[in-house]
Formats: sequence, C-alpha cells, structure tokens
Amino acid sequence: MAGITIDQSARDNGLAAMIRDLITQNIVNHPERAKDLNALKGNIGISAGDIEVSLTLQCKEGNVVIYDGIQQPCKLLIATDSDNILKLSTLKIKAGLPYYFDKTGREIVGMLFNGKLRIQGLFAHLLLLTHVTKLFSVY
Amino acid sequence: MAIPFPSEEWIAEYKIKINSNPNYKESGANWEHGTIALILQLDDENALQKARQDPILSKQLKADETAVGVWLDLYHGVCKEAKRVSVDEANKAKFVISGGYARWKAVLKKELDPVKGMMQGKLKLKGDLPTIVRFVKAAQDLVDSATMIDTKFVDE
Repeated sequence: MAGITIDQSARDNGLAAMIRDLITQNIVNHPERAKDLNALKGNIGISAGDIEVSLTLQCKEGNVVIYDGIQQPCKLLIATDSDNILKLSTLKIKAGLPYYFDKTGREIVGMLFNGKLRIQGLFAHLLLLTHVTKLFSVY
Repeated sequence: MAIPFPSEEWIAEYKIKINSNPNYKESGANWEHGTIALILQLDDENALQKARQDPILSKQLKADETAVGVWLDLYHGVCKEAKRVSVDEANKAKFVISGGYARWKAVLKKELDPVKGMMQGKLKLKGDLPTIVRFVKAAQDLVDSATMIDTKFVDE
C-alpha cells in the first residue's frame, strides 16, 4: 500500500501537511489516481517564495516522503507564490488529463508565460508533471 | 464600542457580519459541506491574564479553560448559527481551523492571511482539504467578515 509521510524536518511545514492531506483525500475521492501516485519517481520540489516555504516530495515506488526545503536533484521544481499553489489545485482534469482550455487553465498557462509560475523540468518530465497535476487537482 | 475577542458578544457580532457580507453570500452560495469551527488556543499568558480581568470575558472564561471554540453553521452563503463551544465540541465540526491567540489576532488585524498561515504551519486545518481549496474565496470572505468587527484585543 502506497503512502505519504512527512519527514521530521517538515513537521512544522504547513504546506507539507496540506500537500499530504490533499493527495491522500484526492485518492479517496478519485481512487483511479492511485496509479498516478505509483507513477511518481524522483524528487519534486515546491517553493512558495512569498512566504519562504518550500518542500521536496521524494517519490519511489508509490511511497512519498515530504522533506522541508528543496532537496536537489529535483526532476521537477515548481516555484510560485502561495496563492498560485492553490490555483494549481483547481485545474480541472478531463479525459484523464489536465485541462488548460477553461478560465483556470488559461490563467495557469498565462502564469507560465509571465513568469509568475516557473516549472523547472517542465519539458523533460512532462509525464511526471501530468501525474503531479492530477494528484493535486481537487476536481 | 469595541467588543472583546473572543467573547460570546463578539461571536454574535461575527454572525451579523457574515450575513451582511455580500461577498460571502456569493462565494459561499454553494457551500453545503457542513460546519466550520475555529479553535483559539489561549496560549498567551499575558492575554489570558488580561482576559480574566476583562468585565465581559472574565464571566465567560472557565477557570481551567485553555482554548475557546467558535462554531459556525454555514449553508448556502448564510450563517445559520454562530456560538461559543468547548474545544471537544469544536472538534466535532466538519472543518476545524486552530491556532494560538497571537495568530488569530494577526488574522483579525489583516496581518496574516489565513491560507498563507496554514501553509506556514501557523494555523492548522482539519477536514477535507479538496473542499476547502474549492471554496478558498469563501474562506477568505469569512475571515474578511471577522475583520469588519470592531474588536477589542484584551492585551492592548
């Protein structure tokens, strides 16, 4: 059984608890997304610069450990403001894929273009990003 | 006249402010996901001492009370009930947001955004996070309603 745990280093990191709860509850609501969790491999960093909070999801064979701070090397590093992290969670999933053609989707694409959202590894690990997006989406 | 936080009078005023906030009426229009409770931990010795001297709060705070719960029964953009409850009672709510006195004071003074506070670990949320994420605007409008109260902070 895959699981998400928070390392001692991230015990006081509120975003870590939120990401754990978000993914866990999303899988309860959408059991088919357990496949996306099992597909995660490598380190995924998330940084909310405006509140100086960052974390790394260390993913291996369906198990995720969340550490405080950015632990390189990261296959994906998502850097944006705290408000936008929640916005990423409101991206809709259609036909099993993130949907970028509604208002929220266009806003996220716009943030990528205007630099408010930076994703290192976007093109090299597009499939990994798709899995992460599905696990974060509340729809 | 400023109302001491977190008195029963303050909570009654909070209900009035929620129900007179047109932004919340709109953003919370689809809320049918149950009750929200706020837990205020009385972890500031100075504030607790001052609260025990306040003419209103002193009558409401029990001698051994270390936290106060605020119960909000919300449905379709309307606050049907707001009341002071024990922590045990508050923990029965579908969603619980808890934090210390200084954190809530910062929220009410608009110095701390509650969502950022949760990400920083300054406030704790218990409940279905995907639901809260879908209603972030409503949550912000709820907090905005609280900031509209002429609040008296006992430690000031």
